[in-house]
Amino acid sequence: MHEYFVTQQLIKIAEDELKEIKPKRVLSIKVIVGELSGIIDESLKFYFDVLTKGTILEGSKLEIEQKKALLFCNACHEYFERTKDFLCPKCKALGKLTQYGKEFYIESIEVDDGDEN
Amino acid sequence: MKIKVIKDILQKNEFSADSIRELAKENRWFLINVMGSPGAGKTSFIRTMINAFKDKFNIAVIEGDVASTIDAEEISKLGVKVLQINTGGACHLVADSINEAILNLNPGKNTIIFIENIGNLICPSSFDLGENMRVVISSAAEGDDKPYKYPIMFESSDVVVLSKIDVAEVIGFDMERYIKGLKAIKGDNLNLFKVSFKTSEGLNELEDYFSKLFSSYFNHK
Repeated sequence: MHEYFVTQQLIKIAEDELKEIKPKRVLSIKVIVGELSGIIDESLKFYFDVLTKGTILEGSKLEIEQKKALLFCNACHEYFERTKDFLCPKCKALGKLTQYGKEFYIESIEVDDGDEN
Repeated sequence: MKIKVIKDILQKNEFSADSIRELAKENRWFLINVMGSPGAGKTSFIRTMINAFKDKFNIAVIEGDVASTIDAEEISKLGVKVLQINTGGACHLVADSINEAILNLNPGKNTIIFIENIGNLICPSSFDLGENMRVVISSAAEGDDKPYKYPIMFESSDVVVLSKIDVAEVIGFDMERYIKGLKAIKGDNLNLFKVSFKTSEGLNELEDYFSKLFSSYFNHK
């Protein structure tokens, strides 16, 4: 539900990035979203379409790349995808949370700058 | 043409939180961001803290709520400064609104400021409010699976208060499973207090912890 606020931020960052480039058209924005970030893709897309109206981003496509949460097993010293109760699928030891899965950032913006080549 | 950006989307909130941190340092405020589900006991926690410490320290409260002023009215009866923020639908507080609230609240120097966040276990954890400490109130009534389902909330908190332990047995709350989940998230940094605001069980330990914390913060020159 906090997608409204974060979409506003996302649009502001993108607008700032595009200020100097002044592209003819913005084609797409790629955002990386970790599964633990609490961001719902559909909500993000919904607000993106609503909030970009009248901005340079109007009509551009929001591409969302999902990242899985990885836990780290202290016994096997390996990363594994989140399981119920955080247990390592290999040795059943308790895993711990890592930075993987918390991502939320703009990876890139694709623009049409009028250069055909 | 593709432009590489890689920018954290929450950075604007971080800037605003940094300005709160600077203000807090200047004025020697101690900000506590209180998070948790609706009905977990956030207001009870704040009320308990006010009753325990209002004679010793200056206390002020920022009450975040979607629409009502029920909690703010209750807290103001305890004789501390209270300011209500109604988010009008948003599920979390942001640093900008805290900045504004603090200006209106005018808490004075050397004050403990409790911020009661909006009730849910997802959104508030993503927003830095420039606080000194985060406390999550997690009630036994919500079940023992909460650390597994909302790990970021628990990871981002400095203190976990498990409330309503008086009903734990009745509803079959598995303490071992709950603590195991917390340990996976917090490792050796787990600061867990098991309390009941209804029967006062465990409140001595909780108050003792905060008493030491506040004393060392405000005595430190």
